[in-house]
Amino acid sequence: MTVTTRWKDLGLGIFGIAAAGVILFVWIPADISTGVIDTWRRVTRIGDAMLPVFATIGILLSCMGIAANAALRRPGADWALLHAPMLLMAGAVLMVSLALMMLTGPVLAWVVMGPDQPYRILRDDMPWKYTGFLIGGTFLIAALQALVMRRLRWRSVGVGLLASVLIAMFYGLPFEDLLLPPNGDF
Amino acid sequence: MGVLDYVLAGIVEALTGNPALALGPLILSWPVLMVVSGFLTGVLIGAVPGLSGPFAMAMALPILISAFGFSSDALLPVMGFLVGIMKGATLGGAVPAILFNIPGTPDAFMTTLDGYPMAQKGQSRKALRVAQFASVTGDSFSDLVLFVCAPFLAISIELFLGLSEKAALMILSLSFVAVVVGSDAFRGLLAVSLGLLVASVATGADAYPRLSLGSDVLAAGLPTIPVIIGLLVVSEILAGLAELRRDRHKARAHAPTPDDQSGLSWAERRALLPFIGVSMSLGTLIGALPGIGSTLAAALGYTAGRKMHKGPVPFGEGTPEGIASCEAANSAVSGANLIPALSLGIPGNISAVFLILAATSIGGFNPGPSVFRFTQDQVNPELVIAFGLFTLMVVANLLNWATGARFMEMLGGLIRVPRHILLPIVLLLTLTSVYVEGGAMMDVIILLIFGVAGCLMRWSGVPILPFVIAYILAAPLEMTIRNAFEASGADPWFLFHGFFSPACLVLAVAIIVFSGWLRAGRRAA
Amino acid sequence: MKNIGFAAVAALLSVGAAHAEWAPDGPIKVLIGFKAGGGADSLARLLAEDIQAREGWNLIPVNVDGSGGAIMARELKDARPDGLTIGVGITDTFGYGLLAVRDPGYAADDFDFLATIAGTQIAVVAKADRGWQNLGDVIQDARNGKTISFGAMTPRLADGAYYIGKANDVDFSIVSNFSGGQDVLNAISAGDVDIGWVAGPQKAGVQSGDLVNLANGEDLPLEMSPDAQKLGDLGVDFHFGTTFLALAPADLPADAKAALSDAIIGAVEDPDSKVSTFIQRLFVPKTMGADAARDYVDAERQDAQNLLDATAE
Repeated sequence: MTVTTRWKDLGLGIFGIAAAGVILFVWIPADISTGVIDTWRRVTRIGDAMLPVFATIGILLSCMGIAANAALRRPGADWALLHAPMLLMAGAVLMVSLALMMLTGPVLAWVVMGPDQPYRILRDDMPWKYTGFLIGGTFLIAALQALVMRRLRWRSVGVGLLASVLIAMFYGLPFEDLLLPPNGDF
Repeated sequence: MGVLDYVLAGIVEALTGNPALALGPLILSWPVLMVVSGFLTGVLIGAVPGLSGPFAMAMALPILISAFGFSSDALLPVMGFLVGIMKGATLGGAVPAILFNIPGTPDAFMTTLDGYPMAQKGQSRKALRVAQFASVTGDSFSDLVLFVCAPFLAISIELFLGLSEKAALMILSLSFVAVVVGSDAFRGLLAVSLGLLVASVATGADAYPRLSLGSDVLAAGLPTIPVIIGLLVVSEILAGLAELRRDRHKARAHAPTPDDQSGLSWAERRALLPFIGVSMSLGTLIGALPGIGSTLAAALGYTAGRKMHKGPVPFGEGTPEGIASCEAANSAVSGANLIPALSLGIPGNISAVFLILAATSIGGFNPGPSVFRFTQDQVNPELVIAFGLFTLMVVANLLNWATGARFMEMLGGLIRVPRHILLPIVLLLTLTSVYVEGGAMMDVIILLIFGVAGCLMRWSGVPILPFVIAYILAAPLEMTIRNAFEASGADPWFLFHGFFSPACLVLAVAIIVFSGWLRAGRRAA
Repeated sequence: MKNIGFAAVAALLSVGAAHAEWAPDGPIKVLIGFKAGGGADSLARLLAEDIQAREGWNLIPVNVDGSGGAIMARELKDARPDGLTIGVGITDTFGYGLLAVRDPGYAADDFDFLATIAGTQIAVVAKADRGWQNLGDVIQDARNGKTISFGAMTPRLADGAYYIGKANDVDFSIVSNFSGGQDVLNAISAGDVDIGWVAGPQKAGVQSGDLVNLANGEDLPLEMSPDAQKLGDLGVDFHFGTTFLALAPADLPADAKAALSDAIIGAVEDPDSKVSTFIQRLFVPKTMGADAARDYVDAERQDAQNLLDATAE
């Protein structure tokens, strides 16, 4: 095993042991109303804490095992690449596109119809039903492709729009009473 | 009703119940229509590198539930489609493996070893035929084992195992899954424990939703479908995108070598049978154990085949026996791994997870030993559904026998859509179907949170499958333990009476200790 | 969807006019308090199908099982009172279930009751091959030192089992985590428990002779076995039958409440509907409108208080 893998394993083990301690001694006592064993109205039952306590003991033991193996320079599992920057960027793309899906419809309606029209009534009708989904969906696909290719191409936007239209049709045509995500769903 | 009446009722239910089209006396039922579409979808998805059966099941499940609703009529079409995908994807995975040296699904990796050399020699058509013949034979054999074993196992369990024995058996399965998935048993145990912990959120018996941190969202309980699809599929998509960004200039698929159009004669098929026989038995055995996937089966089948082989072309240089050994083994997994799911309610792998998820979301079918109650006087509808499902598996196999090979050949040109275009579209489709199924924005957010959690698990080498299996099994396990405890009259040693339960528990601890501690020590030495 | 959009516009335009006939502006979620495949579950699903067919509304049944219907009650309580979420459960959950639990997490006032649907045929059931004719035989075995496990699906039935034991000087091992009578029945068939409460799904098994009703839990004779032992003969002066009912979160608009209540009663009382056929097969019909249903639940809660007093240490 390599030196970094060993330190990472050790870190994982110690982090898990600490987390299990917090769960066992802080979270479970504070956030579960019955104990591991619960006696109420003369009947002794297994309480709500039983499963989480045993699960946490499992976390504790497995992390002790991981840490001990690492300390003794024994092989654990391989660490993959985290790709943290890509994950963060993809997360941002997802958040923006969900926001576009949610807000495009209401904002457009506000601009076109004026502030007095409640959106709850419009959101089932054309074109409001699809504006948010198409714009948000196109953005999602085009932006993720741009992230992978490291440049934005108009073709990606086209693919995104086409795919969004197809998905919208896929759901919109057979199931009339479905709402596409997440159009003004507050 | 006798056993045969039930089998018959299941066949009738699958073939004629819930008709989609009726032309005079000819009826095309929704279950048959769906198992056929599922099979075709599965072959297609399996043939696209980067997509796999679980992907297709994850995308399809919420869509299917929205389309068919929650009546018990929905069970067979929905489960039929999922079973069809499961079978089709294994077959489809061999197409790019043979034509382009790219395994369409992970379990087709071993198929590339002999399939691609054969294609380079101009024998791609023959190679595809071998793959299809081996795959469909292995699959059909494994299904037969399922049809016989699942009812038998379920009935014996109901007869011989009490509550505490059932609980001990579930604990043993979890521990087994922890050990066999991934290379580090402690990480497997960590995944199982995390799955149980996450499953405890807001699911207790008391009025206060446990571990809900005072949050209304958590108090309502985590929705199962987004949690599982997030972990399995969204994390895979995110990781795939990240990988593509890193190596943008990965080698493109080569153009296939022109083919000599040779077929596969009956004599050649007969010569393959010993290899197929060994591999499919191995695959079935592995499939019946929870947690071990078709990838391992393919590897074992291939190794066994190599040892048996005495032909002119050695394994790895383009011999049909190599393809047959691998494909028979990985296809034989799919039927057998429904054995623990249907007879015990223990999902052994991802396809079983999605089948159980479908059954419990729709309702009216609770996979587990009580399905196989052959009640005489009153119809047990769950048993009819079970035999209906078996019928659909046979329908899919017949379709596979008849058209599988032709369908595989047609796919050659379709499967070169690059992943960087495909994955974002799949992500949008997944988000949409999860939203449509649950009808709540929160479901999408939970899906993405668990997608990120899945990425972290992949990063640290903690396997996802044991988490998912534990998450599904947590509720039945807790319920069985609660009941066993009460039935024993609150005896603290309720899990340690008799022979069976203590044996299971000792074994459960022993395999973790052996595999996590002793084996790691030996590997280091 | 278009017609609903239209209905909404029409509703806006007709402000001040007489209230229009209520129709749901979306699918109605039907929360079922018991496990899939059982009596309450089938009842609720068939009811939903019938209402869908009769009214053209879209109903989606969802199982929210556990704690004798309490889990469903808690979830329903927090739903929006717009007629788009209703529940199907049993009166028990709002009588005994409220009184006997440390903190039920809901109160009877959290709900608008829509209608009662059917009454149970509850009995203490065992497999016939155990050799017991009636509950007295079981008690005899228990007195001779045999451990008897007794399955129950609600807190009230668990207390009932305790009280039967107490009145006869035996201790049953009461197993109370089942989510429905079908679940108990499966446990009895599998030998996981010796005897247990089942509220109707045992009928076919009893008629074929595989199962036996050891004692009648209702106040009237059981239709499937009129001669089953009366609990009164065992010194137990309570009955444990329950009534299936439909309910919604409190403060449902009056027109929605009336429309839902009418739709349910209409389906149950229609002799050709699937739900009424099903009720005839396993249970007994018992329909009451919204107000009568509330009075009935209140009365049952009073009975429950008496049982509680009797079982107090």
